Amino acid sequence: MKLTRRSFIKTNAIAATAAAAGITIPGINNAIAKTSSKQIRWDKAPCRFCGTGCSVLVGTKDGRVIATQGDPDAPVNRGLNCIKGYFLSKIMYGKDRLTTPLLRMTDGQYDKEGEFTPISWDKAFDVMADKWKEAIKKKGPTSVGMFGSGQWTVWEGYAASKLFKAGFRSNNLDPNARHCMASAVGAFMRGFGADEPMGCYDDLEHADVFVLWGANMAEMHPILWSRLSDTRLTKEGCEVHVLSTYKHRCFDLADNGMVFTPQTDLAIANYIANYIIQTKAYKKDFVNKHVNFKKTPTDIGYGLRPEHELEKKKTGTGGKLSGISFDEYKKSVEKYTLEYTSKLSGVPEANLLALAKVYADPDKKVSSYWTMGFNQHTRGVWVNGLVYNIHLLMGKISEPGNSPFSLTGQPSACGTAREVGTFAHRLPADLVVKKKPHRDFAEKVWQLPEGTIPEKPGYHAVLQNRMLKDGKLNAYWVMCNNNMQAAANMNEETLPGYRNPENFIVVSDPYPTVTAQAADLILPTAMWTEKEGAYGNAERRTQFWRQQVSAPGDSKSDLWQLVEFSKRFKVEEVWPADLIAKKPEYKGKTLFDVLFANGQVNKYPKQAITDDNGNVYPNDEMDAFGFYLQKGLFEEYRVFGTQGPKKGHDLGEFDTYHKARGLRWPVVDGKETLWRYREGYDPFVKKGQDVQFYGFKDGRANIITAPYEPAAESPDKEYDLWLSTGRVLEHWHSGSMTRRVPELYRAFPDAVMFIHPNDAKKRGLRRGMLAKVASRRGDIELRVETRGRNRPPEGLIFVPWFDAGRLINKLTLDATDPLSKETDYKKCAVKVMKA
Amino acid sequence: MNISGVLVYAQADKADTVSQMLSEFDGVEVHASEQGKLIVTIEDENTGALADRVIQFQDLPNILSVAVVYHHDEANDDELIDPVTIPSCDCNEFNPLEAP
Repeated sequence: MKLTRRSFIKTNAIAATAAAAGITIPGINNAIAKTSSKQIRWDKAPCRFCGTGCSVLVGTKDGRVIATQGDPDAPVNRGLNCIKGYFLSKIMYGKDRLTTPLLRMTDGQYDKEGEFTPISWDKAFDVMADKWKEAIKKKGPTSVGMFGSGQWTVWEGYAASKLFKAGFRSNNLDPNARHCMASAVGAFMRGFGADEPMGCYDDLEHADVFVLWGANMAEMHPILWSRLSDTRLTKEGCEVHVLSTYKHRCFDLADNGMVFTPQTDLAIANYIANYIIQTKAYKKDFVNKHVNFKKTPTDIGYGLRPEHELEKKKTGTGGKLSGISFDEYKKSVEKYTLEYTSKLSGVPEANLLALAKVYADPDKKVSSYWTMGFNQHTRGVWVNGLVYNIHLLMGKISEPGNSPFSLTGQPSACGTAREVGTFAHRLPADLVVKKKPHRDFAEKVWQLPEGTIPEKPGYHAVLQNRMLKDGKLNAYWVMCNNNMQAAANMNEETLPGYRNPENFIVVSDPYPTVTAQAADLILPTAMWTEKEGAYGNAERRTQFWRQQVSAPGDSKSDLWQLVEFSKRFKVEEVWPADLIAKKPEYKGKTLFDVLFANGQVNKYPKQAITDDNGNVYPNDEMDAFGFYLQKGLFEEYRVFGTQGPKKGHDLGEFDTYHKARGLRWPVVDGKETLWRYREGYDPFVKKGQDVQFYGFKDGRANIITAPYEPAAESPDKEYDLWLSTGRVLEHWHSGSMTRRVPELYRAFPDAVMFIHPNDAKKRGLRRGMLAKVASRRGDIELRVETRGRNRPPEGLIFVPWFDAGRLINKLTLDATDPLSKETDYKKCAVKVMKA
Repeated sequence: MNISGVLVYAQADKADTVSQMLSEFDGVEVHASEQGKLIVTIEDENTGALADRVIQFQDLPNILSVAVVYHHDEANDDELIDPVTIPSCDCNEFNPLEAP
């Protein structure tokens, strides 16, 4: 049959879509021709946005990325692409891309009150290095710090960690992942002694029941939601349970949708555990062999400033665990009866019972998913742990389909922030600064004198802003994030901190974000495929990409900036004499010599970067430094996993990842691991052990009891509504990239206030009207939305935070989980009135 | 000439209604429907329209999820996109000393 060009292309479109859906259409050949054109070069890269880690094919023509499409060979997304991923090619080409360093100046001199003026990199680093040296000289290493990112590539995070923790000897390095993943990390460490999920995305096809706890996957993880929807539609008996504080798109697929009063998720999880014990459904054998029971201190405050009233009232502190018996655990959850929990949470008894029953059913494989609803929670570590408790009681863990799974919001929250350990208390591969053997190991790998890395954890994200305001942190570098927009309580903490005359603030970004505008020095930055990179997604999958195009103007990658800046410091300027005396050969050397030209990082010479089709790719950092910097950093970093004190963190060799569509660690003998801690899947489980939680010496996981405790700030007479913040499908996080894509901008241009029609009516408001929303800390104006995708119950409003023109974090409270130091962005009290 | 292949997940018992609803859009065809999964093509003269359709679909009743699988863009340049004014930023525009 003869085809016209149009019908040929259409046939391809149908075939590709049918293949991705697993549907056969008669007459359509599923073996399709890839959209290919001789002028377009296609190469793989992980998406720049969320933690799902979809792989896309990046089409480049004449030095410009012109198209992206879902990668049909990628196990994560199987050719699918969400609407944001579809527009990836446009994120690098916003009209206001920064192309030169900008310093606030008056009459040719730096002036904190001056206008941003273009300067050279050389001048920028001169001024910056002076400020760093001045701060260190005056107040010591704790006066310098950095706020980094879960969007950094693996080697960027690793280079930053070396530069700050070893070079400047300051642990004041924290990533924006503190805002999204810290509670998840805390619960993994306390429950299993090792970070990151035991399961993987394959559970999306293996499970019989899905439970969403505080995750709007339909909008925030659309491709995983497509996979979940597919299973729900095609597997008989499959059920979806959704818990949230307001109705959202996931409720459309829910068999059991539950809207609960904020903070009562703690009680609901405990009710399920109680139900499992009362009905004797728990797996005795599993619990006896693989679990210890613990309790945690209670009434531990809300991570506010110590002088805050709530902090003065607390009676407990910290998270030191103590052992309890099964009977004590049983007793601790007894009060969470169906009646009590239903009354407290506002969820009807029948719905709670249906949820408890699926967890307790020995024949149903259950996967639980959660994101910011759990993590951004003043009891985030507890509530993460309470879901592990349920899975551990039932032994529904570490096997296909039975999976408690913490989803992530950033593309490398796992790969960079967590695995590299760019937190104020961490080192690579689950090591921590406060343990001497861990510091010793890092110092050995990094060839540093003993005692280089400070023992005391540095300032975490929220504390960094407080210390800036208090004038204790004075030279500060913000890289690859938009924290002025992202951090809570902007009016009282972030902005006064950045503008404190004692401080010098540097922001590296591709665009003039709100954060950049509040800085003293702005450094223009290469992004995504303008550099070679590596990300690690939520299922432990490490994925690499090659540099596809060059960055505009004078913009440089974060990696170049970090490594080049290290050349400005002689060890004598940052280390005490007694430390240098332990390694006299470092005398007179620069931090670049010690950290990056150390014989390991600069081990791999310049080479041509090519693919199997003979295409040649640029590598701007290799050109600048004269060696394969990314490879050297990764190979040195890998030693932490293969030889470090914590087992099961092995990564494969650098070159492997440029060929594979990512590999899930631990990678042993080139083989990835799908389910951790179970014999047959995880090579680190001893033969005959069946299940071994080897993060702890005795191989057992912890069930940790923790009660319901109220939120830091609840509605009262004056501030009578809950405010929950979050995201929308069209925009990613603060919108600095997606708002520069015309199609996405047009689809959802401004943030709105989702509110119940009755709540709007009571205040004389109608859909589309402008309203003022105020908390004790600030107010903004927003349009009223009473319909559409999010339907809050009476008493709660939902506002997305992507909009730089409507900064909702002027209103939020910087209350944190005292254990994870992660902010609760989901609960504070506000009032709404006519504007 | 722009042709896209889009996979739409719909409530299984409402798949026929959704299919009919989608077909009413200009340039939209539903080629197969199985267990709530719809194989859809979108044809148009410019890329802006594809984005609008996909975003519209997400907000329609009984649609659970929409994913773009295939896209053919004959012109392959950005010139065809409807112009839209995005508020771009000037670094000196925002005065943090005055805010908030």
